Amino acid sequence: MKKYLLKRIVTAFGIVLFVILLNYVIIRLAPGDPVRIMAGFDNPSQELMDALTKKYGLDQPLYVQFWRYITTLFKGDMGDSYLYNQPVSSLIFERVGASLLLSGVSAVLAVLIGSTLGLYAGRHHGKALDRTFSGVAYMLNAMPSFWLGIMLILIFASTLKWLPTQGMVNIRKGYTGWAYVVDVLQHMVLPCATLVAVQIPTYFRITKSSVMQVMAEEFVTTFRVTGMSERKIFNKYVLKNALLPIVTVFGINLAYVISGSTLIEIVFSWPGVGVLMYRSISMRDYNLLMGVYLLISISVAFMMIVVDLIYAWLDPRIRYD
Amino acid sequence: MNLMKKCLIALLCVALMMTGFVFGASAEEEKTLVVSLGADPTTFNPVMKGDDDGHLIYQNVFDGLLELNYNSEVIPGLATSWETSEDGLTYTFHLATDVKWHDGVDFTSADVKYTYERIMAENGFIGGTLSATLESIECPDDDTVVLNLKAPDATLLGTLAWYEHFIIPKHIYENEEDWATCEAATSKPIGTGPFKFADYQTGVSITLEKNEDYFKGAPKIDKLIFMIVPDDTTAVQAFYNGEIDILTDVPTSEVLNMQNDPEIKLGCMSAARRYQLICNMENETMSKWEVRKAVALALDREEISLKATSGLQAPAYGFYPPFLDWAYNADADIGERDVEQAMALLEQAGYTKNADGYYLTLTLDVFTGGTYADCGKVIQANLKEAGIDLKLNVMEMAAWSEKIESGNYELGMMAGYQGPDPDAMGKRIGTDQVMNYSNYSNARVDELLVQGRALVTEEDRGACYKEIQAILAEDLPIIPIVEFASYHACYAEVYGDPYIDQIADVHDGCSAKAEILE
Repeated sequence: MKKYLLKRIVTAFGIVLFVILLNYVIIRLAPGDPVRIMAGFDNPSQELMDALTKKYGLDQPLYVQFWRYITTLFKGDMGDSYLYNQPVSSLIFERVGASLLLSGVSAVLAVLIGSTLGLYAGRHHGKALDRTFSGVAYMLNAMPSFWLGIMLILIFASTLKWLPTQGMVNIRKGYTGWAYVVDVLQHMVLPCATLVAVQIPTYFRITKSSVMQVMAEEFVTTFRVTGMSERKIFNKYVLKNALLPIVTVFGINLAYVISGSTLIEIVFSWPGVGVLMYRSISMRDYNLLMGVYLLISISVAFMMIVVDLIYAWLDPRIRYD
Repeated sequence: MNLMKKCLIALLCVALMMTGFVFGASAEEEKTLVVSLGADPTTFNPVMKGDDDGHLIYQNVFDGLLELNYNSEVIPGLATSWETSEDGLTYTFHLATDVKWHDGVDFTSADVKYTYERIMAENGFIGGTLSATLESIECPDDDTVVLNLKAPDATLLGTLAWYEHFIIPKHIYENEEDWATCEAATSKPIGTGPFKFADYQTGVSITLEKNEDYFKGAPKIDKLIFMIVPDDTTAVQAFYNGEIDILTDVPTSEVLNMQNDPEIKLGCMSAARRYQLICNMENETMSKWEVRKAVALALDREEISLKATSGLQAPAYGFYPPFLDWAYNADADIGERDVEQAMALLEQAGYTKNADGYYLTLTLDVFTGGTYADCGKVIQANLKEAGIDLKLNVMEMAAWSEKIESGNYELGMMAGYQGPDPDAMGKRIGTDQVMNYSNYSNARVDELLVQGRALVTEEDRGACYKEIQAILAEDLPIIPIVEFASYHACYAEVYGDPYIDQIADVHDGCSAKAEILE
């Protein structure tokens, strides 16, 4: 087991390194010049552009730039953002909390609701509730998240006036303490509902099909023949087997929690990493973008290891050597 | 089933708690104004680089020596009056007295000298222009600044008033080696402006508080909050729902709704900008005068204005934005639409119609945002009638900019600021200038641009710029389409947005005179 873990960590490290290289090249292949963007479109001055190019070392050959980036990275420095002139790490750190809060809560709610509904639908396949759930799941799955978000704003904020339109806090009031917590929760309802709604179908369908698959296994039929109660069969034997695929999907989703959900963060003005990533793409802030991507690749690699460990724990049949 | 029930009940409880727990009491009402902002400012150093989002903050925290009002006219800032010597080589500025920095230190002429010198040394936004123009800066006393020029330059006042031109505190910046990463640039800007910087929450808001000692009089509101809302649609809803008081970038589609609402006031930002086609003179097809003229003649500007902009952006016929009477040549007009003549010109250039009825195929590159793509579609239909097959290529801004700059295009469309001085047109049409994407070169135009810069009176200078416009109308490196229009909106009880209330004596994004009417 220890050996296995070590092997997985080494592989993960290699993958992250490869991703860094890949990102570095791909980002620079995209058209657009960060210096030009920094200098502004209205009245750029050649002197300013030359100074900026030199300051960020963009006049050096690409391999020199890459070497410089990777060596400073190993010293724990992700470089400075071109756009903000601040360390990339502190820019991301400032915003990662908001993303974790929104996307984390949504991911947990989605897996709970989605798989619960999926378990029910799988067990009662073909009944009225199953058909309703399945229909709704298909509909939600087909909805673009940003569109759903705007619709929720129009209904619950603009028409019914129940909830705030956007943002994370009421900036006019500037609440503190308990009132602040409630304020944030209120602002979270709509973006969270949107994220949960678009994530539910995945969990629902995977759980449902996995339950149905396990229910069709011969060992279940055998249990039934022996006269074991349906409840016991389901809770003790079906459930455990059906859980495995959910763990995988949940693990992958959790890996992306750190970067937040870009579209939803933009629609709801949520001050998370997603908005930062979007802006760094459109402004060609290479260092900042590399930093966000690096964080995502590390968290994906990490979560994959965790998922594998949970697998081993959930399913003793799986032997690693 | 049990589990599901429990989950549902738990969810309902949470939901109830959130909706029910709302209306807690808060501190007594301060007069607060909330303004929308599209993105986080990239820096609070107001002279380093161009930043449209930051600019709104700078205008409220800092002052320039001079300022531009909503109509792009130069107005006094920290300098209350100024005079120019006969030979145009010396500018003397008389500064306002009793001005204090937000930290209580006295503002003096030394700050002005320091600011301009630092900008030149660090290649700040106006650094290039200042270095090219200034010989030396003198401070005969605390309230006077004298700028000595290398050669007469009538555009100097415009440069000192336009953009990222603010005066920064010497006593703070002189101790900072790196003016980009110091505290004053990242989190604690100190200015002389009507509002003091109070708080910045990344991605959320920037809060300014009124400066009781502002030398032009303390503002009437206590707090000015800039709320960061990246999405236009969301910002509009937040405005309708009362979360935003002044909406700074109203989408065209919403302007019409708002115009019908008596509770809402609108202001239009238009001066010194306009939508125009740029023709790549180094492209084989576009280098033919007949092709450019045919495109110009085939455009139906009324239709473009009506269909692509709902009539909000008026048709544009002349070759410079008409905000300056003395510099605008109304006679250098593109003329009325004439499809017959356009086709005749194409035939004259040797084109014949193919099986589909087209003489030739052109590609128009536009970037996303504004009404550029919508205008492009109408232009496409216009040109089709004249036998030109126009391919419309919509790109992201950064990619568009690279394509146009590389000179690998036929037709492009852009707007952008061409003020405050008509000399700014030179950046777009002067030989080898930084924004001359048309790759246009005309010796007479270059000569007139130099003359216009060196002359002093508006009459003499105007003659130069008018002649340039006449040449452009003939050569057509650019083709005017419609005026630029960007709208601000606020509710009737809010006063003080310079565009909406047409306030001529404050900087165009400054809320120094804002108030909430009862």
